[in-house]
Amino acid sequence: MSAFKKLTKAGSRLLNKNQDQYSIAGILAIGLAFLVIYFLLPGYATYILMSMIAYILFAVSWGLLYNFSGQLSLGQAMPFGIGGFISAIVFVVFHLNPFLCTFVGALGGAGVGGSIGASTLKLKPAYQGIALLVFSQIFYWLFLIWYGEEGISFGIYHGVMIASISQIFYFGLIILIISLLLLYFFETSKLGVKFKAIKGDPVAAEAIGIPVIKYKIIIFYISSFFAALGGAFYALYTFHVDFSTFLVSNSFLSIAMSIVGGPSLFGTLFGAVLLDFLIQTLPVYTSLAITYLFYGIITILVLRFAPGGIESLIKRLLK
Amino acid sequence: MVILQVNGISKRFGGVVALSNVGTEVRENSVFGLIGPNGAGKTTLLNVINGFLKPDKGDVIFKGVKITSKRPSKIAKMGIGRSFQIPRIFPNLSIIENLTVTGADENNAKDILAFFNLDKNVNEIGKSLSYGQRKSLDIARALSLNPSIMLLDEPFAGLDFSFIKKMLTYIENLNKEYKKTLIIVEHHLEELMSITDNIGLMNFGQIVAVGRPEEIKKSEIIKNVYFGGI
Amino acid sequence: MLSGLISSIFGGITYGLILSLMAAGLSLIYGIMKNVNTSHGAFYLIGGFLAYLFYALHLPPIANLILVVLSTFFIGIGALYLVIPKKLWVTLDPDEQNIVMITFLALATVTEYIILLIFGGASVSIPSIFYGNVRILGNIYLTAQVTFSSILSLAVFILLYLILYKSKFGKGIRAYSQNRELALAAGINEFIIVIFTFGIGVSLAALSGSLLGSIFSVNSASGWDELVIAFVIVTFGGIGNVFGSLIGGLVYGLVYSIVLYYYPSYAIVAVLLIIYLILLIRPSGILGKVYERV
Repeated sequence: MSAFKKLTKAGSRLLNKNQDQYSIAGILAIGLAFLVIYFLLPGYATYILMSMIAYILFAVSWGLLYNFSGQLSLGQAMPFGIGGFISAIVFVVFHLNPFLCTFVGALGGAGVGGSIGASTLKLKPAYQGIALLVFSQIFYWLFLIWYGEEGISFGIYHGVMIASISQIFYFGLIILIISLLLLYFFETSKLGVKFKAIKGDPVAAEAIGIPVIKYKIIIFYISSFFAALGGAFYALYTFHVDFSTFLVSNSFLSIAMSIVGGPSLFGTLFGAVLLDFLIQTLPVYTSLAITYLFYGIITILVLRFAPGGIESLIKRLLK
Repeated sequence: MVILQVNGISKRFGGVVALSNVGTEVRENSVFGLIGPNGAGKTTLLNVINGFLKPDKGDVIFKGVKITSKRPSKIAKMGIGRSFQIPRIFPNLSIIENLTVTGADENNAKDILAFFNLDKNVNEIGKSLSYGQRKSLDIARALSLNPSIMLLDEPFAGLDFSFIKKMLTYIENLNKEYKKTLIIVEHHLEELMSITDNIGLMNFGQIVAVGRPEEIKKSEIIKNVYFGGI
Repeated sequence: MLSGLISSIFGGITYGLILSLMAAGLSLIYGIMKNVNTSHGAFYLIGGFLAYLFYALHLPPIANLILVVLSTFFIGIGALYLVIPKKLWVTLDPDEQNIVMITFLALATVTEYIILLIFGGASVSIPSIFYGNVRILGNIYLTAQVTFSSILSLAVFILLYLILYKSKFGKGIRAYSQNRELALAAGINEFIIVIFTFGIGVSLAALSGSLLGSIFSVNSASGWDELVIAFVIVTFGGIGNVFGSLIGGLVYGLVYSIVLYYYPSYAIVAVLLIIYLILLIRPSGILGKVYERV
């Protein structure tokens, strides 16, 4: 057997039966595709790729809450925006390495988002969704009052750019691939099956020793972490953050991407790539408003005619 | 040896008294049946033992430890398994995953599934099972926890005649082969009385009589409870 | 100084009164559909901008209001019919309810951007129907428009009362909200009840939007805070209880105006925080039944 085959065989023995090497290869292939595009189309394409990184993380974080643990958040922009603001504030105040600031932002957003989310656990889904929307509105107004419409712009320190675009791109790509791998292994792990059980029947899950409330809290923190990571990275590559990051339409983006793509990790990823690509390119021909309009209409159509998302359509085609 | 004790359990919901000063004990490896008309409090008592309900007064003592205020997941891990009147399986997991998610290893799970005749197609998704199969899976899953006590809530409810006979053998073997202590809530009195060591008769939130099946069957009390008031 | 506070309170109570119309609409819809209309704020928005549009078309003011309500009624019915499949209109299944809420959210986003495209992002203020001031007590004045809006809102509540309690249709709505199976067995036409109630519910939101759009202003991002406020008013007053919404709205207006008086710049934040805490602590409401979701 060739060395390569031996390696993959050995590697696949490390995987449990829910996991397969194709998914992992798929994630790595996405990273490779990003790299290839980065080298082939320098310039504006890099910004599109970086936007995709931020929004993949954002959409996947919402999907983790909704599809994986059955909780509805109508305010996912909250941890996203908090991640952005904390990373920006930490940079402006402490002048730490901008990549470190991104992580601080992610952790801060995880803490805030997770705690607020955890407080809504005992509520019925409608109340939970709205309570989280309320909080994203609270931050909308707070950050408008505190930082005005200009928000925070950072990026030049002592006359020098804090990091080059290529550095930021590589950083983003690395955190994207690592995040996707982490999430894949998490969802397919034994722990992941327990979460699926909670989604299937929370009472039965409790009756077999799964501490449902504790687990739901954990997933809120994890989800908020990835949303905040996306938000912090978004702030990083745009060198800017302001109150508009908390708009309900921003929360809606994470929902639309996951719904349109499909409930699985890869479905949501695809939805994020597709919709983000459209939002980056369409406004050139039409306008931003029309693009958002388009998102809303597509989401409605998908929910109406193909609730499993594009992923389900592809599966049907393959049969 | 007494493995489970309930003392002075009382519970009200608003103005309704669901349980009133309920106390009894269950010996290890025995089969304890809980009977009584609808609304007598049988399932409520199971929910209190299991931790799904916190009683207003009283205690549940399991293997000498007070478990009254513990979370159901903790109580499950301590060794009390539970099946439900309307079977609660994980519809989005496969048959075998329904068991391995409790922590049971795969071989153990396969043995249990074989015991319940569910081993034909272990990767089939839970959603596709028939009612009788779901009831079996519900109990199989509780068994895979390797509990000391199993609380079975109306295991025969909704089953057709042939399946009831199957279920009867399963439950008997839970006690005889797997050595589990069983507390069974049931309305199918004939079947229940054939496998239990002791029966508790409940009415209006109280245990009004406890005794061996023959005694309870012959007593005046049972007639009054089911056909008149006490 | 005290008169300043009292002035603020009168203003706040009017504000709460008008919002309670929107809340009553949300409450009615929840009572029938057993689900939250997350696009309710979008209909508030539609009301505000339709009023502006009809003003720009030189419609006489009262006709303007009537047309806003009627148009929204039909827009709402059309939207419900097109966007949500009939079998999801009334469901207790949590997954299906989530789908409906997300779909309504998408609808709200679509509406927001259509408005943005047509009218731009700036705030618009609809000219008042009545000008001048009305003296309430001492040296406390309310504008004529505010006074008119309050009287109109109360009149609409009386109308709602008559419809709900004195008409056959209203009886049908109440019966259906309380016990769907029984109502169906009694021969109630489910389709009509659901669709008409939805239309009425969103028209109330639109009325709120057009009235508040004339007292303050509206812009394309409006509606979300109002949705949240309406939601907490409904929670407070009890789901399905239209008059609980009236009381809840008055209480909200009172609380808001007091907070606004002492913390003008942070008022909205403080109020949203209070709303959040209320949602956390009392999801069952003071009056009225709560429809349990499994």
